Amino acid sequence: MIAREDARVSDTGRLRETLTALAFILPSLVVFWAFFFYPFEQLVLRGLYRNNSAGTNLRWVGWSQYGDVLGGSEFRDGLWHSVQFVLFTVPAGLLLGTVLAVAANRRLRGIKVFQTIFSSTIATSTAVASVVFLVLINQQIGVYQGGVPGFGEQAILENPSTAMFGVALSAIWQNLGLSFVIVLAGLQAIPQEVDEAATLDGYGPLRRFVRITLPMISPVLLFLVVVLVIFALQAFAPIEFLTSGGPARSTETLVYKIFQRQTPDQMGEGAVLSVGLFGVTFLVTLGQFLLLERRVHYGS
Amino acid sequence: MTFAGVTKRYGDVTAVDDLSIDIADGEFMVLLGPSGCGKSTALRMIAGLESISDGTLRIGDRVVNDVIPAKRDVSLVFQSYALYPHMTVARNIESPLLTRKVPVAERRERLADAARMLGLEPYLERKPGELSGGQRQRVALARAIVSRPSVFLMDEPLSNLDAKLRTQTRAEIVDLHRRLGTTFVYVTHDQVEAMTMADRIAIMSEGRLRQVGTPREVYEAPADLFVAGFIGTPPMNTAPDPNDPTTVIGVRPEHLRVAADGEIAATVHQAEWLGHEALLRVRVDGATADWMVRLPSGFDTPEPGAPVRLHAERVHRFDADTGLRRST
Amino acid sequence: MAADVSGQRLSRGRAIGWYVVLTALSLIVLTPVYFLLVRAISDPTQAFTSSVLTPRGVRFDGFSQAWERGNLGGALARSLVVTVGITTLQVATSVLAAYAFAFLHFPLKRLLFAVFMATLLLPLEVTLLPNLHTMRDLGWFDSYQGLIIPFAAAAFGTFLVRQGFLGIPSEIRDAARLEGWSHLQFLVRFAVPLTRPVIASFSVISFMGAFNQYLWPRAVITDTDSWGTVQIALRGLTSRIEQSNVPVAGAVIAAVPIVIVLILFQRHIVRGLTAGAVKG
Repeated sequence: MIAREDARVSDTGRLRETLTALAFILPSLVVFWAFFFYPFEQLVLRGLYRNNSAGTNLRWVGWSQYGDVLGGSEFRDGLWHSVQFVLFTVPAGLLLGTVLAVAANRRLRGIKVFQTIFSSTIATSTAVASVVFLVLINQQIGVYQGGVPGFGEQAILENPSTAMFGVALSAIWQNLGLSFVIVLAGLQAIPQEVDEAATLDGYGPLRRFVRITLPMISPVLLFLVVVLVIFALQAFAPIEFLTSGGPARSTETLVYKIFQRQTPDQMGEGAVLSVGLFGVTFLVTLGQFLLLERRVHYGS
Repeated sequence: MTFAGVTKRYGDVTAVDDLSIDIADGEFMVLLGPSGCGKSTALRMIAGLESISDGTLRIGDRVVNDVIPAKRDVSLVFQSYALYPHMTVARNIESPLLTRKVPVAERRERLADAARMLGLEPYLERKPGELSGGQRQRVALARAIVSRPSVFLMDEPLSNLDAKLRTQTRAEIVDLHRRLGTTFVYVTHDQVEAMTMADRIAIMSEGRLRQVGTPREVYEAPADLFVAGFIGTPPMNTAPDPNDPTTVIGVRPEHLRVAADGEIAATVHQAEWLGHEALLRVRVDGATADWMVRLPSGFDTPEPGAPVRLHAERVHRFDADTGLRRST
Repeated sequence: MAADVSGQRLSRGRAIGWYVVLTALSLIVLTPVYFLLVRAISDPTQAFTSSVLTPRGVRFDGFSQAWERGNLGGALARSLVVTVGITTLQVATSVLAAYAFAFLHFPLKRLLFAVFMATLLLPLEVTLLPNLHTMRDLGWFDSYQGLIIPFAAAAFGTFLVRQGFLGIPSEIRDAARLEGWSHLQFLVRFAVPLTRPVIASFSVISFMGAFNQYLWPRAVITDTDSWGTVQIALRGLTSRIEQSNVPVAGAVIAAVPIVIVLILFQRHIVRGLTAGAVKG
């Protein structure tokens, strides 16, 4: 049919409508300007100035500070640790979320109970989840105080080679609920006839999952990847609770390094690190968006 | 109400093309046509929900082209009823009065009147979700009459009801029209609704008005081949006139008789026995579609493949190029 | 009885098999919680050695100590004020903005909507340092406004509520338009009540997010004793980790409000969390 005129709900004059709209979006716009765009602009500009150790005597240095910091070891290390965190948490979240969702997506008596249990970690904050893992793997009070087999005797969080893995564990556990809920929603959106048709075609359960289910929930899995990557890049509480960036600074992610640079003398460096974090987040989001677009085109 | 050259364009598409109709005060006018013919757009232009690209629309003696919907003194019953699911039936019905500053006492009275007229008193405190389709339809009607508009607009109001309820509601709407005495403009694609309810029918196709007339006029003297083919179940049979290539002849199924000396040669294709009558589907030379012949019950239906001769008691003639009716 | 996803009935044996799998998975998910509870009621001196699988020297004073030492009563109250403040403001600003983007016509509408969505690319972690500078300039450290106002608007909420508004059937919009309501009246009497499920979902998600916030309060609160939120108070308790039952009991207390919210609003939460994942 021909498209209807527009979504008009009231017939006010043009000028009044514009003024109404302005009044309605202004509160949000003020907040967004003051706490999102203005500070971002400040970040970019601040990176152009170097400061002395007192944080005063700002000196215009152009883009040279960007080159120094983004090419330097602090940014490289922080980025590497953040990437490690992503690599530990995202595939695990994807896999575990899918396992839980597939297991709980069937009509059994009492399945709601299991679904509630699987989604229960949604109720934890990053701080609470961190305390949970102090109880599990902290070298002093942990249920398990040993190390990762093959990485020496040191407790997980005390060993620079395994500490990031230990920190990531708490995020993996905390994300279980969210991952489960998202994949389950994807599974439940698959029309039943599709599965029935596949069964009639003589597909076994495994082939049915790989050939039918997985492709059909791939957009949902991609969405989950986006969410988990962004969570991982922003993780802070587990690091502060479990390792405080140690041992030997092996768990200092980008966000952790930014947080440490609140004093005026480190502002310039912190600003560049922040812009770096923005760049990474932006690229990841953009990449995933493009991937999603391509997928949509394949589908149609 | 008067449409004078009213046109509606969406970009390159013309939804309603140069529509001119006079609708008399108190008349029950049905806009009839297949989906996409522009009838709903025409109705929405009366309501003010669509702007008018060209031409003028008058309600009473007022040009309403630029009058906002709420000030046009019309009410509209929607196909989906458009009841507000979060409000009780009572609140739904009195909703149009709340913006019109009707005093509380009068509002109550009008609500009670409308509810009584449509037998909704027992349901006033329920939500629309708790009502049956037929009851919802009545709430929609009640909401339309409560503001006492000078024009009622209805957009396929019966299409969501089952067949039995539809027949019943049809009669109720005709009743309502008689009691209120106001102008009704009713949009439908169902010719049975149109024929049974309308004072006059306006038949539209592809954005254009094809014919306006009483049900009898449009049936007995269709203005063109479109109307001839649209009105009547089954519709009028047509074929090129064998003696005159510029003419198309049309014969209604009930005006055909099987007769040994009939002037039309045909071959039986199929017979459909319906109890009170039988329909004979026959092939006629030159016709693009099967002709239908209505036979009284008790008539022996011939076997498929049998040759028959038909006599036409009444023949309509149309211009082969323009499709328009020839006056003789 | 039991049937698997494809609607077939499961044999009794296969059903039992699935119960075993589901129970095993439940144990894996819940084991950390079990150890948390065990540690919260175990005597820290006895529990100092490893492998505490069952409670040792059961005592419940960890909870009362955590409550007092962490000033959890005050922290809970502050968290509640901050959380309710953030949620209320986010819902209000999102509903208003969503209305403008769904129903009003104004210049630069598409651009402004893009600007709103662009804030999703600027998480707090990125803008932390200059925002702290702003707090310093405004004198908003250790204040409710400092904890609340930066979160008074939400692009996600605007997006979600706008989707809800656009889902209102066009005939209902037309019907209301014929009655002649003003925009504010339509918003209050029609748009909001008709999208209550969406707004409820967003409210709950917003509430949980605000209550669980860590980085921002950690940075903006300098006086943790008188301004700490629950999560920050928890951080304070873990500084003396050798008294393990106290911080761990604190974590249990900190989780309670959200567990309650989850129990009450599970449906809304699931819908809100999956809103971006599955169409329709």
